Amino acid sequence: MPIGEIGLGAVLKMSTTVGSTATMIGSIGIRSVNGPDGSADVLDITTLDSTTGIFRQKKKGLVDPSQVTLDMIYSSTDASQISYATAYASSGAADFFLFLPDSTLAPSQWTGFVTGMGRAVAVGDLISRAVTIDVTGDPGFETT
Amino acid sequence: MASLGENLIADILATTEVTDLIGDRAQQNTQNVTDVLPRIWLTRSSVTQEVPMDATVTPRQSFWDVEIYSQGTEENDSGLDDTLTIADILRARWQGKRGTLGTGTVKGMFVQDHDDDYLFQGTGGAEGVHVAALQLEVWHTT
Repeated sequence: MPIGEIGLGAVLKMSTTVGSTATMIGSIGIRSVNGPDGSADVLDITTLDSTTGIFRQKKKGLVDPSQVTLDMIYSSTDASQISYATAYASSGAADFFLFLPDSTLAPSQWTGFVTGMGRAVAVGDLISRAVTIDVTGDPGFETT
Repeated sequence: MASLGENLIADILATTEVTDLIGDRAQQNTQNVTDVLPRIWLTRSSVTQEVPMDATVTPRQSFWDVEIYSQGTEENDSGLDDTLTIADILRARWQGKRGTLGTGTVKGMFVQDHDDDYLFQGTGGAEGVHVAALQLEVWHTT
């Protein structure tokens, strides 16, 4: 059976009430969702009496869930895009839910802060919007 | 509702500075064999459209080839002037145009390329065909 999916049909929703999906709103115009692409600290625990020869010994440290970035086709009137701007101007956290296409799994879910907003206006291209979400806590990759 | 090609032709024929030279001889994809020169032939060469994850409809970006033909006579090479005149009029009209086009509207038009050429007839006179080819980029929603 072949594997692999394309991003068409994926849905990203945001709830500005953490822990509640009552105010969840879906986003339109997303070209791509990138991340979370965090990484773990790696601690060097090699000592003089290490028995691993020339090889260092390491231990996994804290994991930084890092960021999610969105590349969007700009809309000045869409409620979901306005909600990102509102979240950017706020210090509050929001919950995010990424529903993958044709997936029977629960959505990837994480909590984060909209920490970056960008806009690119080029004379001969669609106006685009970039959003950066700093993730706090579990970045919500599927583990089951 | 008129197609973009029909609206382009309507725009070409909208002013007397062009129709004084070509009459109504502007067509998409086809050309009447009885048409004399100068005349304009245009065709759509490609269309692209971005599709976001939610498949919201976005503007289309279409590319058009617009070719202007004219011909001199043995005694008078004014045909070259006709081609260049029409090409310059259309390029100036379309470059950066936004808004009404024919009975429709466009989000933006750009003349991406303009080539002039001369097809020599080898008759010793000035009967060569003069061609100006414009490549036109149009952003539109309909």
